[in-house]
Amino acid sequence: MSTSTLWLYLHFPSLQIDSVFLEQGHHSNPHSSQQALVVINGRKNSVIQLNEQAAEQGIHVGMGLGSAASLCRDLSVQAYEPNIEKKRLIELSHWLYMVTSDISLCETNGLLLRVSNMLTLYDGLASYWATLKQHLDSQHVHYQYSTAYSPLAAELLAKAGLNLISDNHQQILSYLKQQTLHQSRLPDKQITKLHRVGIKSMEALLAIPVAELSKRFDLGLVNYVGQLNGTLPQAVHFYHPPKQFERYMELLFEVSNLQLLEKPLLRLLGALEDFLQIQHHYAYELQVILHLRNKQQHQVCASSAKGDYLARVWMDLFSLRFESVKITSPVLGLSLSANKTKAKHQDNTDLFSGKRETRSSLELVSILQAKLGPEAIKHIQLIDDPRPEISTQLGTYQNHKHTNKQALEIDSKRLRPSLLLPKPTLLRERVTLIEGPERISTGWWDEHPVIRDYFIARGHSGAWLWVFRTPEQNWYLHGVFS
Amino acid sequence: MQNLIDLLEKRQLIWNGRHQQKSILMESSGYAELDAQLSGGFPQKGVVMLHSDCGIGELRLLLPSLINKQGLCVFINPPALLDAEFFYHQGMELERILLINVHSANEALWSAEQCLKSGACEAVLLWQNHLEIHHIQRLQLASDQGECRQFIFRNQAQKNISLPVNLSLTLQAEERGIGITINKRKGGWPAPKFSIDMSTNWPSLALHNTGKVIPFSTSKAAKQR
Repeated sequence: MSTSTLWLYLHFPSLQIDSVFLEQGHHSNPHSSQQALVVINGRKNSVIQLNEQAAEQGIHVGMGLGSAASLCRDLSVQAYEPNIEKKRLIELSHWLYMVTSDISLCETNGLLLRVSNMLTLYDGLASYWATLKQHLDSQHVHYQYSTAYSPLAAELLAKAGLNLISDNHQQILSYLKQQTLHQSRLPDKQITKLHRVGIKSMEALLAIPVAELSKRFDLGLVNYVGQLNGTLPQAVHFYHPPKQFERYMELLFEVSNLQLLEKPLLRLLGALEDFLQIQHHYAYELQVILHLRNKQQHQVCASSAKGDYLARVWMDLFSLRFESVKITSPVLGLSLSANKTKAKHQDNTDLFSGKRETRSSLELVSILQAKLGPEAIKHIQLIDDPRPEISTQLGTYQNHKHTNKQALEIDSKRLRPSLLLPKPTLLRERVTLIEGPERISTGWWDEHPVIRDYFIARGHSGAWLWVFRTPEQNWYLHGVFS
Repeated sequence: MQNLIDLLEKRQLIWNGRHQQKSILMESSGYAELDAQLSGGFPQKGVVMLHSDCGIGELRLLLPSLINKQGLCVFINPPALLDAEFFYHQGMELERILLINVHSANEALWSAEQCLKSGACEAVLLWQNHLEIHHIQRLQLASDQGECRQFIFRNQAQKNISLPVNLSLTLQAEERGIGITINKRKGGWPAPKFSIDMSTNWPSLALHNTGKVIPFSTSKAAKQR
C-alpha cells in the first residue's frame, strides 16, 4: 500500500524572514521593502535565510556574517529563532487544513501532506495542486515543493528545489536518481563510507538491492533507503488544528504610539477574517494582547454584539478602544485571539422597508461600547416588584433579555414618573400635594423594607414631582413626571 | 449691480420666489393643537430644541411620537434614571430604549452623532446645556444621513444665542398642560404662546379644580392643630 500513496512536501526556506512583519509592501510581496535582511545561525555564524534584497547584493546561504556584512552596507541581521518558525508552521498548517486533510509538521520548516486521499475530492492532482497553491500564495511565504511516493523522497526533492508535481513513478524516480548524496539526510560519516566503496550518487545507491545493502552497511542506511523508495513504512504523525484562532506577531520595531499598531493589527485581523470566512463563523469577542518591553502584557478586548468577521469592522472597534488605552512601555509584539465565535446567523432585514440602515442596532451598541466602555450603555428592564427602585433594573446591553409581557401582572392604572432619582433625596422645596396617598409597604422579607406614602405633588415652578412620606414624617423626592 | 446680486445670492441672503423650498416632511406629534401650529407636527429629521424646566411634562409631550415605532430611542445623559414601569405602561417596548450616561459633553455629542448616523434609531434625546453652532451643524448632518430625529433639552436660561436648529420651542408649566412658544421654525414663522391641554391624557397631572387643592403648608398646619 505504501508504494501507492502519494505525498507532497512543502519546504519553506525563509520562514523566519517571511513571518516577521515588514512594514512596507506587505500586501503583494513581503520582500519589496528596501532593506536587505538575513537570518544568522548563532553557533556557526553563517547565513541561513535571506530576502531578495540580500540575494541581489550577492549574499547566499552558508556565507559567514563577516563576508555578508562586507557585501552589503546596511544589512539587517536577525538571530535564528526556531520558535518563530514553529509557530508560523502551525499557522500555515491551520491554513492548509481548510483545503487538505492529512498534514504532518516536519520541524522546523516543512509540511508533509498526504495527497492520495484528497484526489477523489479534487478530481486529479492538477486541480488539487491549483487549489492548494492559490490557498498558500495568500500567506506570502516562499516555498519549494515536490511530490513523491514516499515522505522521505518528497522531502529530498522539495529541499532540492525541484518544484515537481507529478504522479508518474518513472519521472519521480529519475529525478530522485539525479540527487547527490550530500542532499540526503544521511550523516557525513556514512556518506564518506559510501564514497569509499564507490557509491557517489543517489542513482548508484538506489541501484543496490536492499538485501545486499544490509550485508555491508548498518541498519540506519538500510532503513533510509527502504523508506526512500517506499518499501519500508515511515511513521507519520498527522496534525489536527484546534478550532480557536490565536496568532502572535512580532514587530520589527518598538511602537509606543498605539496608532501605529493599526497596520500590523489589520494584517492579523485579515488572517482572522480568512479563518472565519472559511469556517463560516462570526466572532463576537476579540482579544489583543500587547507584549510590552518591560515584560508586561496589556490586554485589550473588543466585542461586537452582532458578531462580525470583517477585518475592517473589527479594526474600527479596536481603534476606538486604543484611544483610551495607556501603555507603560513600548510594544514589541501583539497577539490576537478570538474568544467567542459562533456559526453565522441569517440577517433578516427588509430591503424595501423605508429606512435604509447603515448599521444595525447591535452594531451601533458595539461601537458605543468600544468607545465609552460597556458600563456607559444601559438598557432598562422591568421586574415585578412594587418598590420603584427595584422594579427598574439597569443591564448592560450584552445580557439583554426580553421582558416577558405575560409574566408581568402590573396594574396599568398605576401612574409612575418617567424619571426616577437614583436615590430618594430630602424634599427641600414647598410643594402642593395633588393626588395621593398611594401606600407601598413591602419588602420586609429581603432586608430592604419599605413603608412609604407616595403623593403626586406640584412644585412652585410647576414641575410635577413624586414625593413620599415615611412613617417618621420625613418627606423625600423620588421622581419627576417629566 | 449684477455683482452685488451674485454676492448676495452666494451668501444665501436673497430669497427667490421661483425657488420653492423643499417642504420638510412632518410627522404628527400626537397633540392636535401642536400639529396645527407646526403645520403637521415635528419634522421627521433634524434637530428640535426644547427649552424647558425639568418635570413640567416635556418628555410626555414627545412620548406619542416615540411609541409605536421600530427603531431605538436613545436617551443620552437624562437628569435621572428612566423608570421602566412608566414606559411599559405607555406602550413603549423596553428593548427599544437605550440609556447612555457619559461624563463629558464631547462624549455625549459623539454618541448622539453615532446614533443619528447609524440609521438604527428612531429618535435621540439629549440633555445638554452647552451647545455651539458647529455642534448643531454636525448633529444636523448626522440626522439627515440616518433619517433620525434629534431632540435636545436645555435650560430656559440658555436660549440667547441663535442656533441652526430646525425647530426651537420654549415650554412653560401651565395648570392643565404646557404653554409653548415657538422661537424658531424652519419654513415657518415664529408663533406667540399657545397652550396644550394634557389633562385628558394625564388626568392626575393637571390642576382640575383649584378649590379642591389643599396647599401643603396648610394641610400640615391642620394636622398639628
